[in-house]
Amino acid sequence: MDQGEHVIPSFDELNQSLLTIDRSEAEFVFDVDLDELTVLFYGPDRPAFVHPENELLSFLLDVDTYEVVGLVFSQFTRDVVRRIPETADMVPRALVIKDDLLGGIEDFFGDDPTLGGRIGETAGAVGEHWESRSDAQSVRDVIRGIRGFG
Amino acid sequence: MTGTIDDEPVREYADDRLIEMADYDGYRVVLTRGQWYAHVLTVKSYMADHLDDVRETVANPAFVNRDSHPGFPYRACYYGRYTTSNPRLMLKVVVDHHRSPGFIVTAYPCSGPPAREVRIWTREST
Repeated sequence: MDQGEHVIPSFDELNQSLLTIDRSEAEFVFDVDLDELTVLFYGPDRPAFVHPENELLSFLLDVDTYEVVGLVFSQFTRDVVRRIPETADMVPRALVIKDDLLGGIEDFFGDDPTLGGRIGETAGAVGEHWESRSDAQSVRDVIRGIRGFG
Repeated sequence: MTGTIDDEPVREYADDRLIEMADYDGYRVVLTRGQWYAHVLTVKSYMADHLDDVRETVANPAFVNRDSHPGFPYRACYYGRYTTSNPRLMLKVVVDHHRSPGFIVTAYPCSGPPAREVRIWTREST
């Protein structure tokens, strides 16, 4: 495929493709230090690139076909979970990365604490950057697309 | 930011430092093995073939933006060459300059920067 002539699909097209994507093998990775939650539909080995939709949401697209192979939610605890609390549902099943360590959420935070408290915040506690409402709307649209998270 | 190693732009270490080098502006930047394996290869294993692209992007970026995450005011995003069959892609290398040396946080291919990142340097500006 000649990518030079290949156009990256629009947000609506990418989002629509989530409705039919195979979610059975989806993996979730929460990087605490980056404040990012990544969804990998086909694992970490498939070459992909990040296509940012906005500050909160990026699509991971196959480098050759531009097919959606994953999602990245940026500013995850700072903004995404505050605005859309249901996104926190992905965290308990995520591989967590903190410093140089990998583990489950309970391995790092146990029954504490800071992160748990932040993730548990409701939509009423909106972030200070709430003005970018369209960002939150696009995340909502995507969350609808992957509802059930596999 | 302080700490330049002008006479040694690229070095490899046997210890935890996978890369220690000067960036485009002479500031010292490191990448640890732990960071590389945990934060990059865990999610994007194909980046294992692109360590040279990381070095090249840090040393000779096309442009540099300030990270748009409000919680990371000292992070800069270096954009440069990503060796692939798709010429539209760039490599993004995120460097935290809160301390010296700067610390490579993550690196990945992308179609371009998010809209709200602010440009702080371009190659043409030198």
